[in-house]
Amino acid sequence: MNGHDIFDLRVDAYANAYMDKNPDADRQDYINRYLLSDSSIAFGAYELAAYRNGDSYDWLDRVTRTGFKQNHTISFSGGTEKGTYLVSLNYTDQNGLMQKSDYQRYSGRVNLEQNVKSWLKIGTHTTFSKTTENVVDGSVFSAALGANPLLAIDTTDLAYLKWSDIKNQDQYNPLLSLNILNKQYLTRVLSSNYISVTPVKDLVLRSTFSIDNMDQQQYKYVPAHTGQDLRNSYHGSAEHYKSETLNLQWDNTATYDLHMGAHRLNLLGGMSIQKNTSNYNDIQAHGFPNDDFGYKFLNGAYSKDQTVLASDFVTTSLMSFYARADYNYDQKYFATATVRYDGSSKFGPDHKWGTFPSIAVAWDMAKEDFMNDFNWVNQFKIKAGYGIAGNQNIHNYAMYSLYRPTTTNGQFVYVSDGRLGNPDLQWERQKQLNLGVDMSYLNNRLNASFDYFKINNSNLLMNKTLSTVTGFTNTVANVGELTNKGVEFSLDYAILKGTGLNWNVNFSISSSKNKVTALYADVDAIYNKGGYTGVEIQPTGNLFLGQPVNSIYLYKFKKIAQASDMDQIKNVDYGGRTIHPGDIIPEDLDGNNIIDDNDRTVVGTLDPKYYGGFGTTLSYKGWAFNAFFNYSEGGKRISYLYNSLIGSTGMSAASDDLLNRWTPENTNTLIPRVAYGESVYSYGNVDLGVQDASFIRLATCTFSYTFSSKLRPSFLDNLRLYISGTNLLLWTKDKGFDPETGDDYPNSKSIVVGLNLAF
Amino acid sequence: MKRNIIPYSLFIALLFGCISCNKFLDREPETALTQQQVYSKLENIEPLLSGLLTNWRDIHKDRGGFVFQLGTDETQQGAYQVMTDPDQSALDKYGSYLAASNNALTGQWNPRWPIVSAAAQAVFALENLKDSSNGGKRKELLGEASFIRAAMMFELTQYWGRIPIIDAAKLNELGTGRQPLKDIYTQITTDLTTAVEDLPETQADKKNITKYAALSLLGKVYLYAPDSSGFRDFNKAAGYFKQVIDSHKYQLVANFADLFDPSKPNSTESIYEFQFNNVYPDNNQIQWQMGSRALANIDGNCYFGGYDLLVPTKYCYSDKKDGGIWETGDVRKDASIRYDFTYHDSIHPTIPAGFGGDELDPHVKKYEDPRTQGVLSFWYSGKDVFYLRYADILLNYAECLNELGNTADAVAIVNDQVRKRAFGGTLPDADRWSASMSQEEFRTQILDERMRELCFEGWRRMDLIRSGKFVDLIKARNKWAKESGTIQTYNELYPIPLTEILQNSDIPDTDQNPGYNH
Repeated sequence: MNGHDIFDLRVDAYANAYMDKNPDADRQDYINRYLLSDSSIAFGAYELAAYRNGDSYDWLDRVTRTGFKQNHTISFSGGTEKGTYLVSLNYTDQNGLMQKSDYQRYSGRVNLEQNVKSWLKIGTHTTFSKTTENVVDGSVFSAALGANPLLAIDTTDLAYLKWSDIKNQDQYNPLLSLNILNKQYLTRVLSSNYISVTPVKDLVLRSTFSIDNMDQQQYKYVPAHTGQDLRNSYHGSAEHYKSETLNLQWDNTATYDLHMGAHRLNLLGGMSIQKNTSNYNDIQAHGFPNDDFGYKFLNGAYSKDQTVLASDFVTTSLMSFYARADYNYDQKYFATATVRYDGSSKFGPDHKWGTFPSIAVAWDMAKEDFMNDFNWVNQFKIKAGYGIAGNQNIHNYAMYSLYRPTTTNGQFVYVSDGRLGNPDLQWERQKQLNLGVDMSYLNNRLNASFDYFKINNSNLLMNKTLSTVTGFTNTVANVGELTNKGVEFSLDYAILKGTGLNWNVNFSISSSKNKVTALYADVDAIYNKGGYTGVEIQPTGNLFLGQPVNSIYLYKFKKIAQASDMDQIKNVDYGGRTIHPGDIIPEDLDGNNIIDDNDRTVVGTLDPKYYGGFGTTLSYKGWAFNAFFNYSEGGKRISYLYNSLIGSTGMSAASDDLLNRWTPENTNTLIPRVAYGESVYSYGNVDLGVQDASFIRLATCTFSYTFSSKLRPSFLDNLRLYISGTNLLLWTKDKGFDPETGDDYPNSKSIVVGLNLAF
Repeated sequence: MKRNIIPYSLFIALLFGCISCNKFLDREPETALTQQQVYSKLENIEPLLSGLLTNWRDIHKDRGGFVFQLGTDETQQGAYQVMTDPDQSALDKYGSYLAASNNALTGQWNPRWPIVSAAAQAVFALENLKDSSNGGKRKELLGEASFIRAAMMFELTQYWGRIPIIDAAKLNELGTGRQPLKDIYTQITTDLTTAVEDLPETQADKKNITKYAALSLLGKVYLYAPDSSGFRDFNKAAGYFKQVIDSHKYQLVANFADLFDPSKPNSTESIYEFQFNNVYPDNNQIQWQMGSRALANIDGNCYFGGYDLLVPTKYCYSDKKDGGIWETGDVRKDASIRYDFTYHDSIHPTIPAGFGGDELDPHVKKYEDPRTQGVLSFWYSGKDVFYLRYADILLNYAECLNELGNTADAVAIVNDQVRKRAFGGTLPDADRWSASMSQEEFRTQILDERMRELCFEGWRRMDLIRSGKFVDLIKARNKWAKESGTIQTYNELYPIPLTEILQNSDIPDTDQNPGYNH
């Protein structure tokens, strides 16, 4: 809403609240005397002035811009019968959508493979990257989005934004927040190196050693004049955060190939060990004589007693033994059997190991003799598989209750982190059944596949909140079972294929449904608590027996109360709320005339009913055009942004939809009336605030021209010009920024112009 | 032959991997102690208990520390706060506004239990360490752990009635369900008796508990226990209070205002106070909740600025002639309540647009911390906070004497100690309570006297509950309770939080406190 509409909204909200308490008063007189006059109780002098001058300020526009990105790649590749190589370098430079945000990345890749002897081969796949980023403080976007349009923008000395004369300590002036320095560096080396030996024919022994090393550095400086700083009386704060993760993995395998006529058997046995270590250190220093040195000179910090030092070191390890037999007969009948024996350091001594077998069979009917007459069928492969997989993705050391020393009043004390250790933790097991068929027709011009899957997860690993009477707030436990079943279909058809016009279309669709089928003991719900106090049951993240995993738990919207409803609802207890015409009323599901938590229910799920994509490619001579759409149907989403905008009473940023709010003259609407400071049900309380996150998006669209050898200079092997767009069009009913990426950051469209050269 | 060396060595490596694989998968935390390590020796239990004392202190700071003071006849929340947080406003409005799903209350229930439970674990572990070479230390720690459990349970049972009892030796037998009041008070008094026996008379480190803190609390437990527990016993209470008084270790400080002077912590009047300072995490943020928004709007470093969570009721800040409590000459009035908001001698704040309207009404002064003026946000306020103060024990003792029929001696204590100090050292005859006052008259007068002496120090809700005047006085004096008019006797107890009922299978929803179960 612009300044004018916000102003009117607040007048309405104040007047409605006043009339609720004083039903016989003169509304217009109250407005004139207390709201619109110079001594207004609702508006600051600056707001009255802006309103009278017709001013409205767009803060968001001041902190955002059109970004710019450049990307250059150069690569060399080649080889002889002794070996092959690929060397490539890349440089990316991007200016972000937010003022002062930028990103640079250098990366390189080396792939080598060399036949040292006839029986000995070595190779490496190594990549390197270095990223440098200036990150804008997270509050800039949200504060600018929530800023008061009646507040002039050039108030750079205002640490906090305000509504009326109330400075909001949580809404820092985004223009000042742009001065916060936040520089991040990331260096990553990924290298996988192998040696492969063939001691006898068809037996290959291979040893692969991989390293993934990531070094992260973050330097931050919050200048002394920002709200973030004033609030904490820091007088300038610098932070250095450095972390390193190192993942080492060593795989050893032996494979043996057996051919006997049309029979082909491949046997594999192996073991793998993996060690992941990570550590970080964090230094925060406060109190700087000036802002000139930014984060660079910690020596200058004078508030030594506010210095924060932190570090941690974590090691986890995994070990696996595995065997696989892969058989096929004449590319017609296929069978694969595997078994894994996995051990994880995350479980206690008696539960470290899990055994996970699987088996798969397939039959390509097109290869049968009786199909010879149907030579337009190239493949008709029927597949079936069944297997068990393990999951150990939980917090490190979850089997222990942990106590850490901390200092208070100059002494050290031991404090629990609130998690109850669970020594009985074990591997989560995922039983999966797959059925499917892969089809190719018309010389492989038409490819289609259809798959059905059913997954049954048992011993689900979950973080669950506890009754604190247990002494702890949460624990990790194997808590139940979950089923997930679904189908996937994809199709790819080269309608025209030849030397002239080529036309290809593709389409895919997936649909799946999950359900919680068991929890522990006789419990039928596990709640996710959070919010401002940390103890509120959240609308999402709960698990309910018999319901989808990602269910949304809220009141059901009944209607907007009308004057004619007042008599009927006068005996209903709305948890202390007094309902007036124009307010939201929820459904009383248990019909006891009391609206309480027993009336909350599962009102939908975040998961879509089905989703997928479709696209097309057209090319003619050097010209090519392709477009790809993706879509999703039936998923729901909670937009906290929209719920906040629609819940405004003119004392915070508001949605234009409030122009259609309930008034005695405009009763046929789903937007409730506004009343300042009254407790009423809001969009966020009922399923009105749940968005239909279905969408269709034009995800990418590229138009290119490749010069033919006649047109390009002779020293070039390839010359291609292209223009490409991402996220160009979006159709959705979702009221937030984006049904897929949410509301935290501006939704961006991008257009890229590019040139490919090859020598 | 030579070409076989590599594969053979690979197999040997594989074999070696196998042998050491279980060792390879053992990863102990490198930066934390496990529960077993902590409870297995005295040297670790000591800092653990010290941590519990810190946790206990920390529930008395910031917003959470004053949730129980909302909705009394002494204090209520500021007008802007009432408009902005429905759960919090319910604590002043009562009736059906106050429900089991109230998150402000859940936020008080939840952090208390881990302290109770850890103290119970420590008691259990210490009893199993009887052979410890350092018997004196073990005894002291046992006393401290017992005291922590008792102090927490006393507060919990006062506000929620029947609560679970945590005894690590009887976990399976007791479960996590609600126990009878009789058992709860048995546990509390047993723990405090242990504490009285095991704790030293003085502690160099003021954070630690003394024998006299345990005696004071034990007296309070016998005075405050509800009749239905069978534990209310004025004789026993008076006996424990008398031990504290007769020890002559404590006396009232001459100047009442000195109690709230940050340069004079841990005075002779202090039996136990929570130790704070101005450095995070040992600041208490209380002034952020108590101060006036009108000042915060002018200067974030003004020491009497803040956000009006809790303000005195009109009854609490008014003079007797205006229907309040204050008598002319009582120095406690200006030491406890801020009436003047003039800043830097010349700035006269006004109430800006959008505010609640009561930002310049009298405010709580006891937590103002002038050390922050001009240099730190009032968020860093960090004066010590009283838990057990000698004046409180004297008034409690006088009440016991009155209940035991000895009103004249009770009046003497009030006159010659508490009121004498309150009037600057000499109590004018006109302000002396009459020694011939009736027992009933004393009961009425002592409630006001406790407000004058102890306002905002956290005992008011319990005083109202035990005197049976909870509904009448709150309805008459608390602005929001009066406006909604819905407070009822059942509101004396808070509802067991909804999340507790949902997650604790030993507390079914039929076991909710009366009035809250729909």
